[in-house]
Amino acid sequence: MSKEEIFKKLREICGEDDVSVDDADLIATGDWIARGLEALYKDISFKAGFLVTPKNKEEIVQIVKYANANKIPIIPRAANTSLGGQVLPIKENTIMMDFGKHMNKILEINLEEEYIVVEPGVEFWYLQEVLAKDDYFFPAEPGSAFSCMIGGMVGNNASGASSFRFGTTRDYVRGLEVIMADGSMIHTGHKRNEKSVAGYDLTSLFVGSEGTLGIFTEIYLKIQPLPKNEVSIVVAFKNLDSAVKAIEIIRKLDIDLALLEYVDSMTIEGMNANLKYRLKKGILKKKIKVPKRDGTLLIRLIGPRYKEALQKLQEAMNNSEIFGENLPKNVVLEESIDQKYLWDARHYAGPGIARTMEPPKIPRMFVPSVMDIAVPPSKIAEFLKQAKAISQEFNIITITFGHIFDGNVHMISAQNVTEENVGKIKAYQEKILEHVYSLGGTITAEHGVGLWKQHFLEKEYGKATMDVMKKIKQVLDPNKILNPDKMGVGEIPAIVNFEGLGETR
Amino acid sequence: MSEEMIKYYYLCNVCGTCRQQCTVFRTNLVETLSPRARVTLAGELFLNKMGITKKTIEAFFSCVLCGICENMCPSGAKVLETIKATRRYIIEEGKGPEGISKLFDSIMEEKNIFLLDNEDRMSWADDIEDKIKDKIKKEAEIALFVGCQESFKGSLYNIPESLVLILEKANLDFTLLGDEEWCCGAPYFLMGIKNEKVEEIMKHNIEKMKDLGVKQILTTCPGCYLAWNEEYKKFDKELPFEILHSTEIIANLIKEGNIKIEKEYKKKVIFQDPCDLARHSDVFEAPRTILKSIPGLELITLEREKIDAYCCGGGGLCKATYPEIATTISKDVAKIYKDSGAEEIITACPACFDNLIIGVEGIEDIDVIDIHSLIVDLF
Repeated sequence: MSKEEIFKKLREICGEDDVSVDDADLIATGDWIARGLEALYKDISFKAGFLVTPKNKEEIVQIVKYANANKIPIIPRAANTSLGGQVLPIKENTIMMDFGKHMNKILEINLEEEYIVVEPGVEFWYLQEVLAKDDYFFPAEPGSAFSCMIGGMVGNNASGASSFRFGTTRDYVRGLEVIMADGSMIHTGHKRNEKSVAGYDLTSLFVGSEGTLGIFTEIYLKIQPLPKNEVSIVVAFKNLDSAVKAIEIIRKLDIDLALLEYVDSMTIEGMNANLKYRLKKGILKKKIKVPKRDGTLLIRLIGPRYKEALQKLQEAMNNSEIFGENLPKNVVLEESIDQKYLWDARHYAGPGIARTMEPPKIPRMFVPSVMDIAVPPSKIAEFLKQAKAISQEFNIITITFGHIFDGNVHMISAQNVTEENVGKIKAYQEKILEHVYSLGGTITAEHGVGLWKQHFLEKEYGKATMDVMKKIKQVLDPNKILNPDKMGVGEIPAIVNFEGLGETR
Repeated sequence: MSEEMIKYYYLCNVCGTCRQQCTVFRTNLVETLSPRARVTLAGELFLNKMGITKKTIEAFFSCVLCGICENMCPSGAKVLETIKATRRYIIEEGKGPEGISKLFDSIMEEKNIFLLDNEDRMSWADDIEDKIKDKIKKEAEIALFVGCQESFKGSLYNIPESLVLILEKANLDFTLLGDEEWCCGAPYFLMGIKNEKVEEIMKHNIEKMKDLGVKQILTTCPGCYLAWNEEYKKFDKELPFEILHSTEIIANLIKEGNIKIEKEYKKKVIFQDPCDLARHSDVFEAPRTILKSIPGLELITLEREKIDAYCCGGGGLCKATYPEIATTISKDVAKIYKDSGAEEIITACPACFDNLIIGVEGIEDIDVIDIHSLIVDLF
């Protein structure tokens, strides 16, 4: 199939306005991690062949049937906020199927039975605004809450800071309408039933499949009443040991926690940079500053007994019999607008670091494989200490923050792009992951496998398990058209492990 | 090609937070027209990874330069700097939109953006000729810099006319440059262009003001205000003028008791913060001081106001090249204001007035009123 033929056919299906081969449309979204690789591999460009913005499921069915018959790759894309290179095109003539432009409607809201039906391009923040009018919410909130879309959240089983309390996206997906690789349409689960054990749980299989098994056209989500009454508190211990000790105490307190986050001192710098900017611009009305200490926890309490819980928490955290002289600095925020900006700053902490420095003049190489690890919560202190030592050993500056309550931490490590640094990064990530696996952890708790982490999966699960995953892919998508060579179930591209660096692929 | 194009390319982490409030992106949800895409495309152009395509041109020239993306960006990317540098590059490559080159030709030939005879610059004052005939090119400490839009566009004449009546009421003397007023040069600045042609314009306007012994320059146009306050000050580090938006001087006159609005005005209104005034210049209290002094007037406040306010869609020269986008934005904003319960949208910017008039078409019971005209009506 020539590019021209495919273009003609796609336009026949979707019309002129919704199929583009203009470079600007094909490149527009970009990928910050890929920018480093593009600088190393001079001849690669992660560019799709076609951008298609379907208006309805009928168009999708026609595209998929055509693509399947002609073995043309398709990547379903929502907001492109994934951090594993999930929607990076790596095959020639890839059809990038974008849902944000047209397939962005909330189709049904049923408060009585507490479910909604949405198209994949519905933005998370918009959905929350709509639901909040009826005092409801969709509780699985990822760090990309400001921009992600529901289709992407389901495709990646998104989760975030509040997942230890509210669960992940999978916990709220009652069912799906899916277009399969052969163009047929199936329905999984039951939008109106919370409980059903009828047959294999196909919904769970599709959730988190990163676009490799099917294309979602309708998503049935469970919703919940919006919790009322909340207070946020910053508990800043001098060191990590005290913070970890505090978490063990908090686990045993009978309080309703909605969020509990660990942030290191560099993360706090990023948070404060954004808080300061917002204060200066008049967006933030009151000065909020997070104490810059290495053992800082950010906590949100909810529920009707939140005041009592706050008192209980403060008493426990300020107990000198346990913490001796190392008592924390506390900042309590009761106004909801102040709390919003504190948590916004936490969401923005990583990019916020950029505010504290000059814009980089050369590309940076990020290390996606250490960005999203999780270890058993009981091992988190051990992991963080060892990870810090490894970062120091390799002289790699690392920002660490995360959902310490469920053992998931994000480590943002970056190096300037040079061939010399590539070797260093490879050795660094292998050492960190060795440590993760020795503690019984996982390479990715939230961000997903995508392109970048697939070569580690066999180490995590073993060959037999990976073979089952590959067989599932083979049965459901024998022509390998759906987001091919991602998630460890296809051929792993050499660039993922920096192989053949400097050579033309 | 300038390094400003790639300055934020390696800083942006494509998080997409900017999309949530991007004025243009929200109208069509096309990724290519989002701020993060513009930062990406600017970098890719700089690195020669792509050429200038039709959609590239649209991405950069459809931007209204409202700057809300910069408020949102957690990394602190200066998106407008990137966009302006890329616009300049596209124009230098001869691929800028036709409307822009015509605009530049007009400024060069006629010293205004409408290709009209600059001798007609005082047309706006035909109805108050007796009040201004002795003011033109006469020495005074205060000068009115009228701006092209209000000088030549009939529907906007009442804005400078009202300001004249307000100054007269406060017994303030002022001067006007008349046909010696040249376009402030804003269209060039919006395209990131600062060449000898723009310098000639700035030099001319500065010289003429100096000749009249001016100490304060008053504008009703936030675009002219920003040009004077930023670009002219950068060009002439010792610029001997204080630059004021008209609402600032009126607010002071009210505070000092020099003018008082006594007539009651029982309306629920919303104030449209102009981007160049509020977000880009931090001037947002002055118009509120004026409105709050009007007896009976109820000023509605939205969660998004002042530096966070909605853009009307009339800026950045988007309207000159992609008028349908500017219209969609104004209609969306007008609907938000209508839903807030406002009966009137009060503007302090000719571009906001001009674009929102289109926005409210077809929406019942909501009008657009210029703040200066409102004050005069209540004298």
